[in-house]
Amino acid sequence: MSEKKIVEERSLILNRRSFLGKAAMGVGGIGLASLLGTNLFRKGENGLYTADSGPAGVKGVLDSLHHPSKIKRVIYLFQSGGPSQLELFDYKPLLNQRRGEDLPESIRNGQRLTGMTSGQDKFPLVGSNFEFQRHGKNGTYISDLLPYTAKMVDDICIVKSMYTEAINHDPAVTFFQTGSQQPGRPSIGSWLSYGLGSENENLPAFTVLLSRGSGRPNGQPLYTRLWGNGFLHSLHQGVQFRAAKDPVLYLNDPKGTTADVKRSMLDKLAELNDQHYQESNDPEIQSRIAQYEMAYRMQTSVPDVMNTEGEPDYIYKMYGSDAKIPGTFAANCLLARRLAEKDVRFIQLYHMGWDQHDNLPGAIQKQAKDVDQASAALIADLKQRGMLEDTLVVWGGEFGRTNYSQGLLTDTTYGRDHHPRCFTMWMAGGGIKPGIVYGETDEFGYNITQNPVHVHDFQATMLHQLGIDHEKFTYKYQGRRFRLTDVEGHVIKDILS
Amino acid sequence: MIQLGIQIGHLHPLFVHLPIGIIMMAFLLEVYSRFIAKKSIDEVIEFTLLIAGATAILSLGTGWLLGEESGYDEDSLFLHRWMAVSFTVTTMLLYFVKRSKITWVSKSYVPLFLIVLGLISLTGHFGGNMTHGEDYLFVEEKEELVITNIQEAQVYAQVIQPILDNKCVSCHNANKAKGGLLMSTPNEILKGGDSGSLLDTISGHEQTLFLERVHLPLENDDHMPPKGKVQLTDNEKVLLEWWIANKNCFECKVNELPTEGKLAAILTSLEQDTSALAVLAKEAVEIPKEWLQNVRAAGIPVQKLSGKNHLLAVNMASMDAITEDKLEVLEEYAPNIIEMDFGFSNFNDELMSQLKPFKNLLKLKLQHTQVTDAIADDLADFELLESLNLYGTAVTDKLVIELKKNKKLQSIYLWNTGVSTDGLAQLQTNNPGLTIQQIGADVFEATILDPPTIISDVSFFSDHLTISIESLFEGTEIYYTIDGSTPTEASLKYDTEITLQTTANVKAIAVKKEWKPSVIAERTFIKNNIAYNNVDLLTVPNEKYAGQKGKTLMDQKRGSINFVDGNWLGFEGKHLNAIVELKEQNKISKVSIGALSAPASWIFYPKAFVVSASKDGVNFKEIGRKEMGEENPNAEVKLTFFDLDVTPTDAKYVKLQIQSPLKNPAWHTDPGGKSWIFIDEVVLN
Repeated sequence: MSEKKIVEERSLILNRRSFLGKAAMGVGGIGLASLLGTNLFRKGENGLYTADSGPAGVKGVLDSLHHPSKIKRVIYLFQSGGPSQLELFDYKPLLNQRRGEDLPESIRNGQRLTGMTSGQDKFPLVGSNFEFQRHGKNGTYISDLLPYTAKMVDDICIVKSMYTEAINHDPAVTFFQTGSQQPGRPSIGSWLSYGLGSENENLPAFTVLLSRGSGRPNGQPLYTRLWGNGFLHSLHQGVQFRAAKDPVLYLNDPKGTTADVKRSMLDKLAELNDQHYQESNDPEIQSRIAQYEMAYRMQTSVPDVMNTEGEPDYIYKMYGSDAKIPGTFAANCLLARRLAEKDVRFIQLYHMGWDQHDNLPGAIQKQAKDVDQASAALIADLKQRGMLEDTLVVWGGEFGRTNYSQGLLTDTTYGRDHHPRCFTMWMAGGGIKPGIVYGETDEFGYNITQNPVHVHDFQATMLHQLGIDHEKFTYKYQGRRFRLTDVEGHVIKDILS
Repeated sequence: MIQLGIQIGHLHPLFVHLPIGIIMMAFLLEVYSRFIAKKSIDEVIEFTLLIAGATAILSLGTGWLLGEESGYDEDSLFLHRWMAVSFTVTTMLLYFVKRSKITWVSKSYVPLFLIVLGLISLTGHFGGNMTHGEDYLFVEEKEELVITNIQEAQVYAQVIQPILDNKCVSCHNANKAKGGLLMSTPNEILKGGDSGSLLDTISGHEQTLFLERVHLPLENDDHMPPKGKVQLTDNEKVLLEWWIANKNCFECKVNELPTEGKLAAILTSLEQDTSALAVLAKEAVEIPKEWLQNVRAAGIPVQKLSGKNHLLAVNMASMDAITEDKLEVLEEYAPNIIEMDFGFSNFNDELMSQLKPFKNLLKLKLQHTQVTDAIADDLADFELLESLNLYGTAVTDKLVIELKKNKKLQSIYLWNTGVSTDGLAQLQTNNPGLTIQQIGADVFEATILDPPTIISDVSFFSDHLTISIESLFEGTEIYYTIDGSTPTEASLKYDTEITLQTTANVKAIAVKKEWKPSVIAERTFIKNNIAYNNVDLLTVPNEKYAGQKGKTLMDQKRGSINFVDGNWLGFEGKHLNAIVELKEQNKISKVSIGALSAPASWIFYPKAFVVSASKDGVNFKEIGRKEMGEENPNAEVKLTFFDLDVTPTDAKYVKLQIQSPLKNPAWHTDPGGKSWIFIDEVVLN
């Protein structure tokens, strides 16, 4: 869009606004307080704030939920890189029996391959090097790599029939987070921040925590756009909390700034910004004013939430002693629980290092150890606090891994390539049936035989639990109404209690 | 003034009928003029069209403002609005066409008029749908099928037929009999369609045609319902299978057929929702918006459960100034409130007695508040209560035993309270349907303590080195050894810094009460007091991995698994030969070389190495040799020191011949390809 066009579009906003809104308030009367607290800007293309959506904080655009929600918040433990379902959840003894045999073409059935194995002339089947045992009331198979998850199996719902369309990391992660393989759409957390707003006026509705896995410590990085706001207001982008002296970058005041100075600086700045808004009508300016205010409040709320010194020893015994080391997955799980207690709506964790193309048995042991106890502890902790009933915890990666070995296959080692046709995720908490396994794969662990669940189905279900009908929750942009689930997605009713 | 806009918008219904009537009038006049050709009528028609256009603009304007009010179905609004725009524009156009004297323009008059009529019909239809509801025009007599007792329900009429009506009949009915099949009545179903009977098992097939079609893959053209239509759910499929397996009985009641396991649950789910939530939702009276606004203005966050009912949830968690007055504000609509959260607030026993009016509470959260056993009597009044959170409060067995009066209680949270194991057991006996949300004490019993950290900036030293050991946790005891033996609780206990005099393999464990001891932390510190002048490389390393040339081998810096870090010398398909010139003659008794193995990167440990000594740099004598052999199949990245005790010899020059395997082993993905060796350090003692 050319600069001229943008200005024209904005003046259109101005024209309508000046009739509906501005005249009512009196020119120049739109102070900060009214911006944040009143109903000046009703639901519209840029629907930032509406009145009837609960307590203070950034208000959501939805006037009321589409149906009663089961959950208030989501903790998404994203396992980046694509964990091998065959070593963790999907028990396939046939692959051990036929180890080394070529994958039958009737099973592969023309599946497209990544550039990493397309040159391979054989696809030798390989089963898990790790044993599986039955656990819980329903005798669910869980790998020995996940002893703690196994103990919590009666509280989680394992979906073995996830599938996606992407076969490479970035498109696949983007697909999960935004509903589209191409970058540019808002992330789930941004959608929720936009729709439901924040319940805590001192913290953003969408926070992000990253950790590096020990399975593949130098694996590929993640891009910040994965928690980006896309075409929504930048107010809704995810805020990354880092494991460092400044958990949120550029949040702290420069040395020598007093609270008074800061406050009056912000007030003056807001005045100037508001003046600019009167002229240009760029809605991003409203976002900016609100962000300054949020940052101001976060100066006290963030250190408060990040300071885990008060956590008793028995908490560390649950999450594992790694939780003492900032930046580990365990430490992030503990922080996730603390953020959840503060009513942060969408808490996104990313644990990297699951992309085990070679030496998988060695790497996955370390990687599983990174996450197993802390994931289980998070569920246990939330459960005992009474928070699991209104929190959805999700565990899973962007795709699965192949049932054949990539590269070297020996008695002790093998690798696995990306596999989009089936993989496993688990969910726990609010309104999800606990202790069940949903969906089945064939005995080769290559294709789904029962109850396939597409990425969009998963997203639709998550929104459903939050009280949102994924088909009605849209945002109009460039002449089209966009939704998280694009034009697809069905709520998986079978796993809802 | 916003309101004014909406107010003007509210005039839309008044204006909206004008263009409809006037355009119809224009049309009738046009027809009339075809019979009685009078010039004057044309003028009247022109005027009528002009007025139609004007009133259309008026309707459009008011309609646009009205549309800004929320609450309309986005899709209908979109259609209605833009249809109206098209109608207005076309009507104006029609007026000018009517006036036009150009022949080809005049010719388009009649078709354009018909388009205008079409547009007004559609605009009106969508507008009508928005005001009166979609089903206003075509009223469907739908009998609300309510199953109150599933056991007594008719299998076909109440369970199966509704499924067919929803998913099949839209294509298989008297108006649209796809495949010659009708599915509205038992007779039609029995009769079947072009492909034969639905319910008889065909010879050679395992199942009936009906189920066969249902179970075909979605992509199959014969799959029913076809791709793109609303599919049968898994539960519905189970019910259909059950019905057909029981001879597709049209007259049976549910309790006359076997119902086991999953089926029973599915059937029960068909019963009318009699949950407390559903009942309360039905009873709840509407709450005025002003009241909600006032409550929120008083600083009490209340939230409507959804747009579909009038139930409320109150969230006063973490507030430190909850007072009786605040609770009183809520009393007017107390029956609408089904959820209250006072967690981490100043809530206490006195405030509890103020909750009496909130008799419909289903969920009460009192975690981390001041409440005590004294609330037992008040709790008993909440007959509907389903979930109670008392985590982190001072309540004891006394309270939970009283809970037997709360018969509807489904979940309770008693973690970190004064309730004993016996109390929990008693509670479970009293309230058998209750789930005590607690994790078994043994789940996280076996947590292993983090290994201690052995702290030192360097790994090499020439005289002595002071190191320290730390643990993350307070109250931890650390035990260590420096000779490479496994540390136990009988080993040396760490309490202050350790000073090393010789090369040492330090191992340490952390031990803490109630935790499993940590795994062993290990670090090697190497004493290396033989100074050197120069390292002369006889073979040339690959230029990408040449580090500081020979110096790299004696710089006392270890390489990392990231082998481009500059601390490694890499040799592709060749051996490493070098001569170290010492500062002065020394007695050499031990030689260690540091090497890397990363088969996935074509890097392997050396096969062997030979050490020779000389006093003059010309005549070398072999003083030791170590054979490492070929590596076993693996794909790990690892590094190690290979140590060799040599015949103690005085030397000024030491020659090293480190032998590469040269080629990848047979088990490698590229067998026979040129392999690499990577060496970072040579230590002489």
